Amino acid sequence: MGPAGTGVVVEPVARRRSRLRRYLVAEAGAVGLGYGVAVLRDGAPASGRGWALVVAGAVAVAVPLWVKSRRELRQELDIRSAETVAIETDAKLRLVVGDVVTPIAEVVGRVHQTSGEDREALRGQLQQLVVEAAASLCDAERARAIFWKLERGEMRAAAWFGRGDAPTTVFTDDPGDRRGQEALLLVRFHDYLLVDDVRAEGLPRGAEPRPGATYRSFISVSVFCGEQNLGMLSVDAPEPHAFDETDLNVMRAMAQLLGAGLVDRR
Amino acid sequence: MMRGQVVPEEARAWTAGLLLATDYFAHARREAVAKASAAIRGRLHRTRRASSPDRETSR
Repeated sequence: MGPAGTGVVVEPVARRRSRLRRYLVAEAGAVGLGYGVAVLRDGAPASGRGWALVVAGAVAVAVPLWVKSRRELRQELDIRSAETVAIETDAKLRLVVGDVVTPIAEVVGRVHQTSGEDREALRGQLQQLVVEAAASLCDAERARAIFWKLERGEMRAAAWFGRGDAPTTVFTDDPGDRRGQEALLLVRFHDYLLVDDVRAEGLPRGAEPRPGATYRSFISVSVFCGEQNLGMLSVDAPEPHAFDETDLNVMRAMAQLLGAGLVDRR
Repeated sequence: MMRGQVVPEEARAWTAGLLLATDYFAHARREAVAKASAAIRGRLHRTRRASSPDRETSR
């Protein structure tokens, strides 16, 4: 298990040197020169009042120029920000659909073309690919993704990727294991759960972290296919509010791909 | 025209366990940003050209 990528937030777009700033400086220079020529055409002012008029005129010319340049620079900044957001969104779409879903779907297909030990090996590989993809795609610093496999009524970590600490939790249906009961219910009802901050008040039942947990926010998604319950895919991060609805949808897609690969023929 | 592999070699290497996920995603992210950047700037350029006043008057 290696470290997770730093989410799918794209690298900063290279800052292009603004031409607008140069145009504005040139415009201010030209206006200043024109004003100077107009003032000095008939010679320098001879009195204090004359100089006061020159200064007042200069201020009257400079203020609208300054306001206009500020407005244009702000507009340019807004356009750049919108462009960056558009690039980030487009890049994420390419990454999710082209670089993750497509190759994983191909592995899912191969799982169902094989049998016996080969199939089990491919399923293990698929679990690992899905947690690697989930940790790398979700926008969180130091995210960790885990697939909790459901076997004999309990869930244990079968594959994980991301932050160093290996998951040790076992979710059971024991009366004293409230978190386990709720996790098993989430799987049974084919639900998902996104928690922004486990230290916030008003958490849903069973969403509280175990003592000493290193995460503040998480997403858990049921892994199933048809009526077959297979486990739970989760991603967590040490920061609160690390995940948004896009991450949730990525996790839902990953969970369904995993379910499609792990399901047994009936 | 565009033609290529549905599942590229790098993706095959990742799914086969021959390429580390960290390396695969670092490369994929760089490629995605570069292509997205070119695509968005191209789209913006075409939009600006289509809506520029010169074009309107030259018709």
